[in-house]
Amino acid sequence: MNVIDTTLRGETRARIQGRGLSKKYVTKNGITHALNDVSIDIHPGEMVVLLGPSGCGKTTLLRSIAGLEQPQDGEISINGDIVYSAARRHWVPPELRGVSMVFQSYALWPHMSVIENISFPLRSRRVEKARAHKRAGEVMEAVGLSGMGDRLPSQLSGGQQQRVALARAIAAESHVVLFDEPLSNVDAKVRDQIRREIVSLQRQLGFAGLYVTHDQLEAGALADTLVVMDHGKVVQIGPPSKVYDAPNNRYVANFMGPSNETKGKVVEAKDLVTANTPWGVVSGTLRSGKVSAGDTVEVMLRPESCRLSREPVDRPNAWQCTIERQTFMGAFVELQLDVAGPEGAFQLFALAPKYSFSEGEIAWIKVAPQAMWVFA
Amino acid sequence: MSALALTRSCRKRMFKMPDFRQVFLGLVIALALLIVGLILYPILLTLVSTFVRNGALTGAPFEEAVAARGFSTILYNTLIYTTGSLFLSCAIGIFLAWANERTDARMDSLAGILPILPLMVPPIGSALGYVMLFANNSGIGNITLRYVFGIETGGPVSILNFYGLIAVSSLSLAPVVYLIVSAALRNMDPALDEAARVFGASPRKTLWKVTLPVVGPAIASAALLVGIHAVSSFTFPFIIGTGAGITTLSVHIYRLFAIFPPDPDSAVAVSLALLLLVYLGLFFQLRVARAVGRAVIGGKSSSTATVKLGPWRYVVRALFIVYLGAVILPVVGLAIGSLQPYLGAGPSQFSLDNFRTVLGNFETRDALINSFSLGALAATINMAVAGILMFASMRMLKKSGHLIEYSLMVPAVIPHIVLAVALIIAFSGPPFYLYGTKLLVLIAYCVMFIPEASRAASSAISQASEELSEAAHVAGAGLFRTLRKVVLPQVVNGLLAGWVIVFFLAVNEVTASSFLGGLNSAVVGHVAIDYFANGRLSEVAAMTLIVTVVTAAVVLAASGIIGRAYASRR
Repeated sequence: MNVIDTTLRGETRARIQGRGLSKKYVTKNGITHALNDVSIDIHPGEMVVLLGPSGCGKTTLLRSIAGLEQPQDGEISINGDIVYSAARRHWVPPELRGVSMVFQSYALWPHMSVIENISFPLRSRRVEKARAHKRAGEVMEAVGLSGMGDRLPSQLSGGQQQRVALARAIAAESHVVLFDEPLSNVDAKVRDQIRREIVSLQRQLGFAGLYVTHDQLEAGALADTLVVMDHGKVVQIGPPSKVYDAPNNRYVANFMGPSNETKGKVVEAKDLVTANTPWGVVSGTLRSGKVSAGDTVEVMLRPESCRLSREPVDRPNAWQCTIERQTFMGAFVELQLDVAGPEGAFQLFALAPKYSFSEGEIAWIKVAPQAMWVFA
Repeated sequence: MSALALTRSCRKRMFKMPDFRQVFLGLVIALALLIVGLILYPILLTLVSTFVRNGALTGAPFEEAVAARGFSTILYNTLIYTTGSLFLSCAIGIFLAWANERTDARMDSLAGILPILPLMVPPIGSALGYVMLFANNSGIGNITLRYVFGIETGGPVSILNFYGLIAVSSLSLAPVVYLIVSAALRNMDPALDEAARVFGASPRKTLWKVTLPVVGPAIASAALLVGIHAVSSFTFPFIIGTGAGITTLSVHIYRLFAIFPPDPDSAVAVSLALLLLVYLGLFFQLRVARAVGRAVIGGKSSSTATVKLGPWRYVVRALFIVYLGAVILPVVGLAIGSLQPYLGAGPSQFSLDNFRTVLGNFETRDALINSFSLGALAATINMAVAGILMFASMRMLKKSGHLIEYSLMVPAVIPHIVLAVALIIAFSGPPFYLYGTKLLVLIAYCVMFIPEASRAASSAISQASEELSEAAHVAGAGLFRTLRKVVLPQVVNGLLAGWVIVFFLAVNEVTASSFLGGLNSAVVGHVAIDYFANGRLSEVAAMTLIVTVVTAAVVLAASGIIGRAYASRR
């Protein structure tokens, strides 16, 4: 398999560029924005993951790039060629865009054998049969499908079907591969395996990938760049760790993982924000917007940011609590904490290593101000 | 009721009540045996009486039938007619299905109308209407065309030839293909088409390399089904073929009975040949039908892939309209024909005399009354029988009930003409002497249309929730109480739809009616064929129009519930 030229990898020009993409539907309940002024860049060798709940517009964006749907406004270019432009009334059909795609339902043609499925992209681009089959054989070997070329898709297991879909997508050596929730139909074990293979195939081949999912763990594991979408808008772009640890707003924070939440009033806003909440006076970091004293703010805290100890700790962001309940989560436990606050007891969730505390025990919580997020 | 009283009541019923389930099942089995007997007895008896002579098996009837003058021409005609209708109706049906399911020319109303279209214009109305319009010299359509375009010679359109016969038959058969292929396209994962496009195939290549091959088994299944319909079709070849000098196997069988003296042995031999042809088709049909289930690999369908036709979509929509028009057109022909004193008469001679004759003449009036009452009776009997048998087999007997379900489907694979021949031979003579009675016609309708009744009943019952019945049983309701209070309200619409379908088919039945009807058992199909053979076309037109309008009105009134029941038949 040919490894892509390193100079190409270093090239800054985007493989896919979307600008100002918009699409709206008129429904009974008014206008729904599937895409609302979305712009996106995907560079060679980069894996961009579109993340969001169903109906956030991520699939519409992917299908618009594939040419299976048409936006109503904006511009898309692939490999520097404009494939869609609302202003110029220009639209290139999917078969001329030269992209590859892995479909959610695999979309393997049931009347074609495995090798015919995989060589189809080459055959339809006028590669002669012998060469196309040779190439398909190489790719099949790479994804662990050796010797299955003559089978029909219906004779394969779900995981094998998924590998055929993957092999078909990379066989054409396309610079761009689109993934439409490809792992949502396979079971957990196969999912992890194929996910790792996708990462290593991308490293090897250097294609630009766009991957749609609603699973934030899958997204975090795959993405070089994570794009979080909500109601047709891009709400945050960044590396997964940044998006998880420094969310732009409450929606992203909530979507990326579990958190403890409350509301409060700002007492003082300097480098750190001091706010009065049902949890007591907390000191946190402002993550979005601007606040001044007296404003109402949201305060959020990831369970793993609660540091627990058996010794009393210093303020700010320190509480005494009782371990109310432990929930086994595999590598660690989730603790439900009963905390004595100034306005009465409240509950927090925390993560801790297994066997570190027992139910009913008294402990102290300490939260770093950087981990105490304040949203305007 | 206190808990104690409840227990006491249950205990009392437990020991004192006879087991109604057993009684009911006994009844069901008796009924099933009666139906199976009515199907098998005539056929077996006919075979024995024809092919056993003096206690020995003989092939003489075959030899006589084949030796008859023109038999090879008849076979050839049947072959041409069947393959021609098969290809044309598939072309129309596949095109309609593809255009309506996969392109932006889609018209939702078409998807609603097409499945019940065969129930709007019966074959006799369609065939006769086209003859009225486009008979070479005297067709009102041809006369109008000649007048408008100033043509001096005959024509310009001629329906009385192979092309016309095949075209008119195909118009009626196309919805069968449409139903099967459009269902296959709907079940097909649209991502299969999308994937082909993304991987470099043009829309045209996608259609030929992916869409059509994927629904290929469904297309093959539909084609064979249409072929079976065509090879055993009687109405079209008789009405159109007679004027064109084309005789097919089924018309030949009719003629063998209509000549004097009748030649039942040859008729049976030819029927058997026809039956073998049908089973050959059926054998392949079952094989590909099994492949249909395998072909569709499940997937979540996100949105229907549409092919953008651009301005072509108006052309495609125009073709939809042309097709619908071509199906409705013969009714116009019938209407005009029924006003003429003779075929080819001008508007100045139009009158309602034909209707006066048809409603005044005792034979035609009897035929109308008999057809409607026998149709209603057959529909009622069939839905009651099918409802009870299907419920028993699907809900109570489960696996072992399949035998009942299969046997109810048997008449569907026996051409009506063959069934009519068998019924006449089995029930005419001793000990029944039923020839020429209404009872024999009723038996024929019931046996012929039990498959349609069973399909409707089975789809109604399978849509009713079994859990609701189980809940009723747990709540203390017995079998009959559950049937009456829980099951019946759920299935009544489906059964009603089945009633309308059977009523329509029976009233418009021509094939068996033409054999079994007589002076004392005049029915529309019989009188229509009789009058047609004697050239009394205008009266046939008036009578057929009355039947078409009445049955279409019944179908239309019940179209909401029929759409669902009819669409589920395969």
